[in-house]
Amino acid sequence: MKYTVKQYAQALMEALEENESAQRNKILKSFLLLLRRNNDWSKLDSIIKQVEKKYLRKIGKKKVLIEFVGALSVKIKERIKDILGTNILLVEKENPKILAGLKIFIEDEILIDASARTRLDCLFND
Amino acid sequence: MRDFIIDNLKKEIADFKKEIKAEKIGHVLEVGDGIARISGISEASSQEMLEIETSAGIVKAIAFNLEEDTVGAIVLGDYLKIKEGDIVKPTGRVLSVRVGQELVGRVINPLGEPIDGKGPIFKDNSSATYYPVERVAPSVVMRESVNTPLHTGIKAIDSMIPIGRGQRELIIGDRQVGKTSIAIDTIINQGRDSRHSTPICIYVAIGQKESKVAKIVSTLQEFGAMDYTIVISAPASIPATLWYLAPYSATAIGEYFMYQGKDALLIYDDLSKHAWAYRELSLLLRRPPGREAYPGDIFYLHSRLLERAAKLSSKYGGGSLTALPLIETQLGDVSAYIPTNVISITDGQIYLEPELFYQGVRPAVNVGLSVSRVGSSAQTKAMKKVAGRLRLELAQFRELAAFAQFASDLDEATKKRIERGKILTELLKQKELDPLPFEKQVILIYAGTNGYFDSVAPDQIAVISEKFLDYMEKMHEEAVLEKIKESGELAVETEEKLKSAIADFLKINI
Repeated sequence: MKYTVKQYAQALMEALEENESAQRNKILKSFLLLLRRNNDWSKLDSIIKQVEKKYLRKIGKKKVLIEFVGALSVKIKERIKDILGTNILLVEKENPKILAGLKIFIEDEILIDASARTRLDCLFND
Repeated sequence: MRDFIIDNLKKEIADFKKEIKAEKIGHVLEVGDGIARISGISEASSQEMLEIETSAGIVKAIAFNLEEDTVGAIVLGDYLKIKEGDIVKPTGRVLSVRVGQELVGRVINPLGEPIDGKGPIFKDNSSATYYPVERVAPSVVMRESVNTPLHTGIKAIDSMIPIGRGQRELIIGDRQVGKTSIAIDTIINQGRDSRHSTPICIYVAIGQKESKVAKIVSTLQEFGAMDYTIVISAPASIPATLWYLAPYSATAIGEYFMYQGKDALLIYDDLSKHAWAYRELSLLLRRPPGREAYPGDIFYLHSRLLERAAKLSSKYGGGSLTALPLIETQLGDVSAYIPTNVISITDGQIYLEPELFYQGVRPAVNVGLSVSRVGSSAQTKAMKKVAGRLRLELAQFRELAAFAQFASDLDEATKKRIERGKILTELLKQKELDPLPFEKQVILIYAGTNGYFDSVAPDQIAVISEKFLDYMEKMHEEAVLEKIKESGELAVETEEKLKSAIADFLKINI
């Protein structure tokens, strides 16, 4: 039987929760072996993302990824936290391709695009 | 140029804060062969336009398969630029093409972008009109019966398989039997038919060689037909996704003219390759294959396209969209899957037979298997009057000719019928790129069916008919040809004049 990414993620989450921390390494090993046996190795990335999402949701946090050019000042970080609340897991990533400004990804589902690159693309495509 | 950029930049900078908004996004999971699988855009609707942000710029795609966890999309640009993890933004719009009178005379790709090197199509952006590529066909109340002829300039077709404006007539046959030639002749003839308004002709090349498309464009230019023609080219070198899209884009452009109250003629060359493209996409999207590996909705693919051809009632502007789809058969097999589908969708078919083609009967129209289901009501009265007997005589000739192969002794009446059949067959032969005005067709067929050419040897018919037309043009243009052209009828008085003109011509030439 073929399992979906969501089903794998759900099963892995539940298995990890139900067992003590000492057992978790063994569970993860077994899970990877299961993926290989089911020829579903290519789904691993998506499963990890799903598990991460489910875990953060469970602990009441949201993953917020910020892409920027150069160093992100403490002031800006604080402002973002003010706007999005304290229940966030802030991940920072430097991306020179956006030229200037910011790109904020909330849980990989919502994008707030304030990058110069996108503005320039829009300007020349319209 | 510099001022324009700086002004735009200033405007953009001024509006910068206002335009930042939160958008729902997805990510590319996998990509290959013009197909992308995307996760995270669960709210995307079918046929919605998607924008994939790649390192080399934005690539457009259309949501095609809405599945439980992912969306299968067909990529409209270069899929090799797309990488796993690229951001995908749904646009909330269905794919549209920009339409307008400016398209006439241009060669464009299925996305409406110019490919003829003549620069941008639209100079003014203030009043842009976009038509959706997929659109529901006009309803019953919007339509009226086909009532205006669309002359192809081909004797065999205009006389026996007449096409009306708003009709869908299939041109079917094996490769290299002259399907495209009929389509090109029809386009060329539209500019010469002064009795009716010239329709905007739209030629869609699907999966054709670029050299062939270039040749067609230069032929149309040579005959002045590009003045009212748009060529949409989805050549063999571009991905199947654009082959799939080409006829729908062309129909959207045709609809624009139809809803303007104008007439449009669409030629899909050809729908067999369109079906192949859709089969390829469907198999890549892992849709279940059916007969000949085509997906289950292959009939709907063509029926929804061809249903958009219509003759609108005067309340809705009275415009029309005539469709001439082409289908290529394999070894004359008209009972294959796609040919039977399209035969059942269209209002008739022109069947071109390889045997006739190799015998020298060109255009190789098999009048026995060809039919026009609605065109006769649109046929010009003069043509109807003279062509009624033509079909019957040719049918009798075919039957007798088959029988005569085995009979050694034939009675006089049978011999006469066979001779007449041979003469009429010769009379219907026509050179490529030489469409004939309908009034000339009428007088030729009149002379043939009334036995005026019975004394001419069949191999001399081509020469005699050319001389006859030349004679009529020089001596009786106003009295006969103009009268038929203006009234569309062969009145008793004109018929008498025609009779005496033919008699005079025969006295001099035979």
